[in-house]
Amino acid sequence: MKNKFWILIIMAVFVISAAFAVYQYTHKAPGRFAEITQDGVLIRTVDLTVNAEFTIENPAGGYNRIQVKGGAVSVIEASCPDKVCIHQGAVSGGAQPIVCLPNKLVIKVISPSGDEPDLIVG
Amino acid sequence: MRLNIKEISKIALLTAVALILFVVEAQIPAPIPVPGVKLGLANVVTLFAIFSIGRKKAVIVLLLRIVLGSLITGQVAAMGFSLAGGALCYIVMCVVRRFVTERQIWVVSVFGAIGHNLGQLAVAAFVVGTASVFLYLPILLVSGILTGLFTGLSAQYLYKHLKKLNIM
Repeated sequence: MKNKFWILIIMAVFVISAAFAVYQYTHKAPGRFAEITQDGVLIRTVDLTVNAEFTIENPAGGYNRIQVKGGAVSVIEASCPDKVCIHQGAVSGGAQPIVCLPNKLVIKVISPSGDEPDLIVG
Repeated sequence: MRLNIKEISKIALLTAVALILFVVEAQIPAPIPVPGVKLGLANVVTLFAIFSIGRKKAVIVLLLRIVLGSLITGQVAAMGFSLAGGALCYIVMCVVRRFVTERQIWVVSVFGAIGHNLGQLAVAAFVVGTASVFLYLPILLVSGILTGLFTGLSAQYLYKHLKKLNIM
């Protein structure tokens, strides 16, 4: 098939996903709570307004040290070899969770838009 | 599949090159803090293999590289992701290969990169038990298309020039 055909398809996928990505990164409403799930089970909900530091152990061995500071949550220490979760930095909002695959840990800031009205008219 | 010595040597050579690229790339820190974003340099070899020695022998190179690469970099736990990503990438590339000419290796590469990201996300969603990791799909598609173009064009030039030498 012609180059034009492929360029068109690839460009379409690129533009659509770039639009979604830009939307995700520009619409980061700060959330107040973060949910920590391990292996798909919710194990802890943390209040982001309260500074804290704690360790979550993985039953299979391994751990993640989590810090809550200034309304954001981050992983500051982890037993995994790649440290992807630490590189993700502090998260205060947005839909994308912090993920630590080796320890099956997901930290997700709950967006306030779901349970609170954006605007009250009347 | 019966392989003669020439074919075995080609597979070994390509596997060695792929492993070096894989190990070198593992030393480069991730440029942006998104899990799963990487250049995928080793895919240059997989692409080249599909176009030069054919898809059946290319899969041997791919599997050897993933297994040996995981052992060398010490990330055996991540082998499942590499295998799932590599498998989906390979399948997608073989399908797209049927519709392109030898001058469109970059097209195969871009689709392969997208397949790789989808495979990785699927395993990640399965491992952590939440589908929320798919929220990374848009940014992974953007980076996958860009890195896929880069590795694809690299493979394109490699193929163009090595073909003149008539050794593969």
